[in-house]
Amino acid sequence: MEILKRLKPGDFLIVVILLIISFTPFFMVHNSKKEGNQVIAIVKVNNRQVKKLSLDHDQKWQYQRDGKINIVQVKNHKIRAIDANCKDQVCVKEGWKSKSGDTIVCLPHKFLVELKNENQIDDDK
Amino acid sequence: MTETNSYLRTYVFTGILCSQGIILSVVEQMFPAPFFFAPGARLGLTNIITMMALMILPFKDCILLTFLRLVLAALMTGGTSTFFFAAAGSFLSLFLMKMFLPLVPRFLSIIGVSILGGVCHNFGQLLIAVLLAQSKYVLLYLPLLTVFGILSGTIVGLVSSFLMHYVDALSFIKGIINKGI
Repeated sequence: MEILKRLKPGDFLIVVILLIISFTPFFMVHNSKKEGNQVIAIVKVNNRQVKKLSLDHDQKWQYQRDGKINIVQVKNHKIRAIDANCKDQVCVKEGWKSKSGDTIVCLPHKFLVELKNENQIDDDK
Repeated sequence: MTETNSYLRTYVFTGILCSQGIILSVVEQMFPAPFFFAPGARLGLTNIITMMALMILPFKDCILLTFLRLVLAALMTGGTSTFFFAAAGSFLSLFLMKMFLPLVPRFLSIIGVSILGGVCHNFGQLLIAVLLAQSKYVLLYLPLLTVFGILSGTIVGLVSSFLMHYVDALSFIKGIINKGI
């Protein structure tokens, strides 16, 4: 018991610091999980998949068929329909999408952009 | 003459500590493994010996002692995986305890240093587990291991305090020991 009296404040400090440090892997793994579940965009026309777009690098991609033009833009891990030659322009007004589960639809052209997690796609297979 | 004697004493003392360390590892093997996910991971009772060595012997002898103890204990009890787990844990805790030992009488007590050593012992083993399992998710066990490390470190610290009390009484060691511990 005599020894317990010799405990210094530093001892408790060490215990507290160690406990705090021990929880850091949770944040690391949490972040890396997000990286692992990258969202990608799947473009479907007439319910057929025509293109997969990664949201990692900025790009513009144009789809054209029978005079129906849709242009999508990827920037800062977000995607939007930048232009289309359809009547209602609903897809263009939708604006930026980035979350898994979001969709951009252009009904007149039956043009659909679906955002999905990479993992989900693997599960589908 | 006296110089030779002091060399001799250091070596003999290294040998004694080494054999005690091996005995402790053998005893430790008898406990059920506290961490079921990492075969070869152990509590770190041998930190008692590391602690004693750090306080009595020069640092290069401590490294030698730790190495000898690890090799001999691996030959006697475990396999290569045990050796790697134990080596990572022991050396990590050895170096960290060496770094923090100078703070002992003023800012820390010996128990604080051994808690640090105990946690580092577990952390080193966990790093090896990460390498072997090729998965960083093993690191999620760190909080659990830290609690274990703090408990075993407290025990180690108490035991080595008591031991130092007796070792201090040995005439030839007097004066070498870091006073105030």
